[in-house]
Amino acid sequence: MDPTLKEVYSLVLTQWPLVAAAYALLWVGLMAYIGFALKRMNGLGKQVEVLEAALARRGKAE
Amino acid sequence: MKSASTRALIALALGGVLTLGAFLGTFFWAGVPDFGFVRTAGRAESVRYQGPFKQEVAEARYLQNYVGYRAEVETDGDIVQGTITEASDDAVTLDADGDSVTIDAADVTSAIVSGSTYGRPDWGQKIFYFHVPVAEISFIVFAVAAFYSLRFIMTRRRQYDQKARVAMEVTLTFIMLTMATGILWTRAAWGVWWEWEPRLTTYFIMTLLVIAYFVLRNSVEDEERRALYAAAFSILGFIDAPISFFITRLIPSNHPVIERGGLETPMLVSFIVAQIGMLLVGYAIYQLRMGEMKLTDRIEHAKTLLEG
Repeated sequence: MDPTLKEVYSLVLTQWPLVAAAYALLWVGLMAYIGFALKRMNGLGKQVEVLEAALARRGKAE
Repeated sequence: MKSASTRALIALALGGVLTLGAFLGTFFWAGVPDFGFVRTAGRAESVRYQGPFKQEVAEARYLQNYVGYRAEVETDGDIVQGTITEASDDAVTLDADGDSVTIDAADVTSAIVSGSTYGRPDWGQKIFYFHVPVAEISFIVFAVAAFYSLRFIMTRRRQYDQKARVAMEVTLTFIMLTMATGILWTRAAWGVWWEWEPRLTTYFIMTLLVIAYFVLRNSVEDEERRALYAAAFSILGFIDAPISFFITRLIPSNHPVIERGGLETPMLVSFIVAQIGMLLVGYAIYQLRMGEMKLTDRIEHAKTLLEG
């Protein structure tokens, strides 16, 4: 690359870690939030199934 | 309940595809704009080339910043033209057509340096494609929270309080993402981590208000009073959102403002796709959290029935 252009474009490299950090924080933050929400929902769904099955069993017994 | 989580998953899938598309567009299609300029000694063909520059240098010692540049140095009655090869507080050396000429700094009466000006490539602008959409979503979801808070005050129905609370949670998530990406952009563009300028200050106040909403909720035990106070606080807090949004257009601010026609097509398309994608992701998160809330209600209801 031409030395002058190399000098101009070297400015891009100074900003690179900040851009990478911004995207990493954004995606990791969103993925973690969504991941935990899905995991919690899964757990709650299982609890609901168990409790509602217990209710149904009790309803039949009565 | 199932329909809410199905809606959430569909929105999440669509939002994921669109944000991924926007991400690829941002880095592989949209160009890098110029932000200010950079001066160089040499000249090369480039779309960033803006033209030559000539600048008078007030004191000889400043020539140290221009080693490699062409210069015209005037001493008492003599002008030397050449490329600066060496410069210090005391002297400057020029290469004048192969001859090395050293001039004492004290003898320099004036100096003019010349070179090329190029647009400064602003790679940090890549943060904008997702920073702005997450900020917009934070304003939109805050508006949704204020709407449901108002509905709660009008009807006193618990479901509106739940919706407002979940919307505030999503607002806080997007505010944190906006702050994180914004601080990194500020560092890239302005060279500082933070500046107390109008947009950043009003957005920081909004962040504190949203955090205060949850502090308030946790500090009131009675459920109905808690919901009422939180609803009133959320509506009052929302007043800051339009102030923060419009302030850059109303008073002088360093924060950039998107202007009509200010973006080239690849940039605009990537930005719009990112906005739609983020909106869907925000909606998906809201629906997921609402689904969770409804499941918790069903568990409580089932437990009450089993105990009774």
